[in-house]
Amino acid sequence: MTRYLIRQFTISLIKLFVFLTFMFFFIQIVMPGDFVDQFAMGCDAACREEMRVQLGLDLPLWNRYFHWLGQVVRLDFGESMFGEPILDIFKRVIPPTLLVFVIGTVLAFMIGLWLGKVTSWRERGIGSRLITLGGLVLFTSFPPWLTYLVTYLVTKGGVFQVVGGRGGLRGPNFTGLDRLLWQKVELSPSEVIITMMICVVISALFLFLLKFIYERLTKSKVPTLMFVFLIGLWAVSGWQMWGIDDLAFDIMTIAYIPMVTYILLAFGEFMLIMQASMRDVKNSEYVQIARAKGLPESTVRDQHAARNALLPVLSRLVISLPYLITGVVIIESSVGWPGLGTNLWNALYWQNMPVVMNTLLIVGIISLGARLIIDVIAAYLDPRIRYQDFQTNHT
Amino acid sequence: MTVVQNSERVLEPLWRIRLKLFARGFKKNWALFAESPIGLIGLGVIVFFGLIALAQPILVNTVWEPKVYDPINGFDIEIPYHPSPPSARHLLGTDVLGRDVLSQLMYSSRFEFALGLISAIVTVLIATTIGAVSAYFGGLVDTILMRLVDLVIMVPFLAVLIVMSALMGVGMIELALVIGILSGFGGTAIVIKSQALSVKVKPFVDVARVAGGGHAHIIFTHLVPNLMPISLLYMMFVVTGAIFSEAVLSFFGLTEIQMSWGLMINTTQVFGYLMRFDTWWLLFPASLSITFLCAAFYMVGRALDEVVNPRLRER
Repeated sequence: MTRYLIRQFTISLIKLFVFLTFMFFFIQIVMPGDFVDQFAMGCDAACREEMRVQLGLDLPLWNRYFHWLGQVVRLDFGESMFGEPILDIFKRVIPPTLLVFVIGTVLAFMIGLWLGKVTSWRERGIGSRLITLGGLVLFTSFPPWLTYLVTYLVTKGGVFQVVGGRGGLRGPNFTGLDRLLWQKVELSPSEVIITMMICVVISALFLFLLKFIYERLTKSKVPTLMFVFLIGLWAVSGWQMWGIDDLAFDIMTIAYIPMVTYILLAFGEFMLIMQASMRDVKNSEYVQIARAKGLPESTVRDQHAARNALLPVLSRLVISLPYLITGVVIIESSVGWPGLGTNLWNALYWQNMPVVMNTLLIVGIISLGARLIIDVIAAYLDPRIRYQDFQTNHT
Repeated sequence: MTVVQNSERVLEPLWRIRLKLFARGFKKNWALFAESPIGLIGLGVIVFFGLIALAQPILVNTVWEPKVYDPINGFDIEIPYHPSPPSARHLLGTDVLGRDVLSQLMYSSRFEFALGLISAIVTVLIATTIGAVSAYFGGLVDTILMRLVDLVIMVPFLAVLIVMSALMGVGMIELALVIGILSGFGGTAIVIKSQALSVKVKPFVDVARVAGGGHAHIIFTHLVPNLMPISLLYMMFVVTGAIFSEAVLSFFGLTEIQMSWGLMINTTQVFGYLMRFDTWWLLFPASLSITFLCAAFYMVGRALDEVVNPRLRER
């Protein structure tokens, strides 16, 4: 299994490299003019030439390419065209994106799987048809419009009015946050978000272990909803222990809008894949046998059908990952959530090529990492992948 | 003379037999397709948008005055304040620049159909060729083509489009071509290849080879026609992707397109009406059109999936 994972990882790294090389040359060739040209108004030809030399734009293309590649290998992202270290920019913009992407994807995955399971089990019912149609429409809906609807429900519709609904949604740098609260601490929102994420991940891992042991010992099942609720509770108490609970709640009052939008947009995809997968499994013999044994219908569905239907969903997930990342980018820029996507727009606006290239690199790395995680889960669920090495060694 | 007449009566012309076979197949497939209400709903929505796309030029030439109702240059002088709410004169109101929203909506739907069609055809051409060629030859050709496909799958498609269209002007044709090429090299090629692998081992391919058919002949007259149904299915999903991508790019003002649904929302945003909840007619018609047309093509694709993939049928 380790060899399988290492192979997958190496192949993806090579692909990432080819992709970035292609993008580098493509962008440099296609781009009209360069960064310096936009300051042509206040600067004569000699001054612009000096600026080019300073920024290294006078070098030939291949020279710049190897320079950039060397930087990437040394994990030194260099500086943006404005002189700010790109690592600092990424420290600021990556945590907000990950907050929305990771938590949103996990929640959307769970909701989608559950809905897909339930609706495909009684396919002919009017309820499941409506849910299918709704999920489909949400999944193909236009993200800025969905953002608008969620915002409307929050501010005017009075549905979630208790939770939040401050005005300053558009505009970068967390304008919606409570100024007074943040003046008292030296922490920046991104640092708080990192701590929040660490709390959530640790509590999820720990509780998952606990759940595993408990289920093995007592041979019973912990309800998923309760499990998720426990993780949330545990994470919140973790925030409290860290002393960032006020700040975390303040961030959550604006973070939940992109999150809810993202979940609404993404869960339909998981639901549809799960439905197709369940339909394959539903009429198979082992499901009939499980039913003939006299097991309750929910046990047949959850333990026998859904577990086997999960694998194709995971392998399909790899294909839809770029789509999900794109969704986050669009939602971010239509809400004004100061993450990677919004940063990409600004960098493109200023033709700030180092930032654009490194953003593409980071997006590639994120999708690579997510893909690896999916591979691990798939290997855990599917014995055929786990024993692949074993088989090839012995035949 | 009589002999000739007799033989004519007995032998039906070939085209009529083909037509009959086609009609029979169509009837059977239609019955399968009509079983799922989702597919019928989708088809209904597509037909609706097709009708309003066709109706716009007729309306402008007959009922509507071109100066007022032109989707790009029109302006209504009789209304003092723009945007004006829906009225009898403008059924969906006017936008910030005094143009009729309904006329824009109808004009754009024609455009979206053209975009979707072009990119779907490009995709299918590329994906079918790649799938058939790599399944037929196998070996090194297959490896190279499939690694290329893997590469395209991994890339966040729209991020590349965004970078590209931000740096160079992208019109409708270029956009359709790029979307078509990117999705043609993507997941569609893999699906078509797996289908081609199962067609390749059928006896008629061997017969064609024994009869002395060349590689190109076998691929294009024996493999490709058998891949057409599944290509048609994937055309639907490509149309969804194309309309969606165009809307997103136009929403951020990155394309050089004169009028589209995404651009209507972009105009709304530029003039600061996006997050104002009283001027709903500037946002909702265009967004709902994008959503519904995308969903409709997706639904038709899903229903076609059940016709094309016998594995999914319940019997």
